[in-house]
Amino acid sequence: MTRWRRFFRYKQNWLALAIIGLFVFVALAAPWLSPAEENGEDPAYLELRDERQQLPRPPRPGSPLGSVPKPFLAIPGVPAGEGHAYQWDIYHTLVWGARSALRFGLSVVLITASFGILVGAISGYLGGAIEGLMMRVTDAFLVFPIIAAVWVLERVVFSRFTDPFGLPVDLSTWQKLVLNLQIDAIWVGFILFSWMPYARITNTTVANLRQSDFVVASRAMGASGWRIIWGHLLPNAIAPSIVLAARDIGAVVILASALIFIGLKGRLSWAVVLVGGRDYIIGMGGNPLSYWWTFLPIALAIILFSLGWNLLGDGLNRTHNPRAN
Amino acid sequence: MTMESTKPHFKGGSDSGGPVDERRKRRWIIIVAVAIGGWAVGFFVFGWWLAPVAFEGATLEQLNKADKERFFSALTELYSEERDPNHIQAILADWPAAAVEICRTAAETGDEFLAVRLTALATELNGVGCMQLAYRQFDETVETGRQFTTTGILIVAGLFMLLVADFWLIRRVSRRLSSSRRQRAKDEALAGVADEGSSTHVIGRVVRAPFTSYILRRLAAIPLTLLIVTAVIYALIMIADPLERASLYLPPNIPTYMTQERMEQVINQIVEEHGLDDPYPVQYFHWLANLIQGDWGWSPNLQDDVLPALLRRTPVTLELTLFALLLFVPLGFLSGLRAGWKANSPGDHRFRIAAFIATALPPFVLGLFMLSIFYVGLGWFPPGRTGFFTLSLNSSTFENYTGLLTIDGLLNGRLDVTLDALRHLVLPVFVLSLFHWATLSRITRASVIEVKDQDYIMAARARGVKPRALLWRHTFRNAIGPGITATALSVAALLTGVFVIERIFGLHGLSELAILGMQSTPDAALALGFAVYTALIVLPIMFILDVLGAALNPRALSDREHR
Repeated sequence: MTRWRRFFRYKQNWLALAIIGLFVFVALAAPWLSPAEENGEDPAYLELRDERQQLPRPPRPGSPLGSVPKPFLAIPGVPAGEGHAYQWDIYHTLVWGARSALRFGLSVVLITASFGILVGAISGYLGGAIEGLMMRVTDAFLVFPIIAAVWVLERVVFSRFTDPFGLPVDLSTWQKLVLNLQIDAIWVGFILFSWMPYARITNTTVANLRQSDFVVASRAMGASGWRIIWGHLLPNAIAPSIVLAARDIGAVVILASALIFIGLKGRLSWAVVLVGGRDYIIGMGGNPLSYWWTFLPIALAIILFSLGWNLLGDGLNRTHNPRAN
Repeated sequence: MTMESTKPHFKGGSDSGGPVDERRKRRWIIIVAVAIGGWAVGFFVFGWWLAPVAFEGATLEQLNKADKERFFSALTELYSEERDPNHIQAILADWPAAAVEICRTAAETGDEFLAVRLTALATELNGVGCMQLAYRQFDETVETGRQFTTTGILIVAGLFMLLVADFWLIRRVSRRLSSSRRQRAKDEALAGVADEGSSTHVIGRVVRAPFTSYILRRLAAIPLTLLIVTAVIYALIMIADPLERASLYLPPNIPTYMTQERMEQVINQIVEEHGLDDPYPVQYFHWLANLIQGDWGWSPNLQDDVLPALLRRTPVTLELTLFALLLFVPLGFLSGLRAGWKANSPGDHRFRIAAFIATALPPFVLGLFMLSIFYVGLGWFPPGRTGFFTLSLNSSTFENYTGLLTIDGLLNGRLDVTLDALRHLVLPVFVLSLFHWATLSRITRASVIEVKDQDYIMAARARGVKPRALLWRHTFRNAIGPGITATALSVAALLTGVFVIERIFGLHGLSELAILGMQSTPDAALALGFAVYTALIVLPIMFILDVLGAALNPRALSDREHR
């Protein structure tokens, strides 16, 4: 694999792998880096119950990055607590949030990429009216902002899972399954509305490859449609999608955090804790750093996370994308 | 088809220039006629149904809202002249629900004076006036604006089929046209008369389709896309059970303090009335028909109709989006062009680092961070939309032409308003543009690098084309395509970004509705209306960018490039 040899020649790619490796390590080692409370609740949040202060408390022994008061709005999936004055430990969520970010980014991108690639490959291979129709549908999905999708899903599907007054709700089997798998509206919305770029890229490449000699030859030898798609077209058309996927993992996490930050419901614990620090970014006298620990560590983690995947995507693009040489 | 038409052309040989030109012109006319005709037929059917012609013999119940109001207004005039309740009762004799209708009209009309007179009229008719009556009648009838019938559903279905047929015809004609052009190009090539300056040339098997036909095709695709989008949205909401969907049809006069039991009664009534247990297509067309008629539903959270609420908040969102596009599209192209032209220079490295960081910065933290510095600290760029002018803008001296403050200020000759609005736009537009600038310029850089090594650039260089012309005319115009396409495709993402930025900078745009809808009781009408409306905003922007891209880069006209 000369491509991979070339890939590892660039220092930039080593940096990307190091950053991603760091996050994977932190995610795996979270129980050792910051032990969670054993109370069966979401382990991503550590409530400092003795802190009954309304203001964020600066770093101190036992809480190396300080703490931030819980936001007033109840967030589903987050234990409600008895009072609002409990504080969340920043360091704890910084460590455990790597898990939720990786889980979110990887699951969304893996599912959307495989679905998009499949759609693109099938439509590109079949051509004709079916291709036209499938690509029209793809284009139609493109005009739809994710935030609206998340809203519709949340209001129509997910709002029925919980009672606004905390009363028990009768759930069907699949609803229980969705609840147990911690699936939420943001996750579903992102999956439904971000597979289109993969479909378009793969469709273009496959449609160009369809006419190439080796495909025509294997069709002449009697290979079935699936075999041609699976064995010949996909391996040759998948590179641009992989590049896109690597970049998307970071972008998806940033966008989801932004949506949670402005008030949508989600389970990315970095963003949820940032909601608590939201009011302290605008500091006294215009100094944004007066409560720096409420947002800076987590914002930097998000930046680094996205930077790592972006660098990886760029490196893959340089060595694996036949167009970019 | 190509095989059949080959022979005569081939024999015709070199003299095929004239007649083909003639035929080409005629086909043009056919394309335009088909497009206009299709749309005209669609619009006549549609328009007749939207604003029906007056016809006689209608019963009073069949009047639409505005006519009912006019009719009742005339009745009050009559009554105030004659003071004869018996005459009024005689007029309304075969309409037992007239008093209810009058009360409803009184509740809905914007004219307070008329409302008072209508209430008096209702009192004369039923002896109790409007208040109790509304309560008494509420359990019996839940009126939800215009009733919809099977005929209506059939008309919408017909419209749908007309649009599809229209689309198909345009494609068909334009394909015939381009195949005849391909034929002509082949003929010319065979006859050896093809010259370089000819407007048709063969690139592999793809032949340039004409610009206007491209625009027509994209225009025809818009309704189709909308149909797919609405179908998808309604499919999403079909997951919920009928009781949930019933909130789509809540009547506007629903009291806020209704008890649980009464609410359930109303909901069950709606489910029955609107056939919410029907199969998906029926319900979808029903909903779509209401949508087209302008009946987007009533939102109990807003205490307002959905469509006006959306329309009122649009200018803020639109202004932000347009200014961001105006900033990051030129900047993205320029910096990408510069970086790609001098790839691997120190400037290029600086650019790449900046672009990397810009893509990785979370806009929400950045926005608040900058507000802290530039507003709280330095006092330069305040959040919100206007400063001191908020009061004077509502006065009669300031006309709202477009709703965009920057443009309205200029139109009213109030330069201070425009400058103030621009000052408020600086931070949000900057934060919003950063990410999109980085993406666009990275794409442009890559395509400039690709184009730079092409043979025709080399040839132009060898011909002695000046560096400036080489850069702008030869490289830039060929490298601009992927960037424009990517921008057009990411308009929806841009809009999502706009919503985030609006929240952070306290702009009361469309996102206000989204957040309100997320945090209050379920409100399907608002959610669906918002979803359809955002798609409606995205489509024209996308179309404009597509056409712009096609105008700048003729390669985009070919089918393959734009699938």
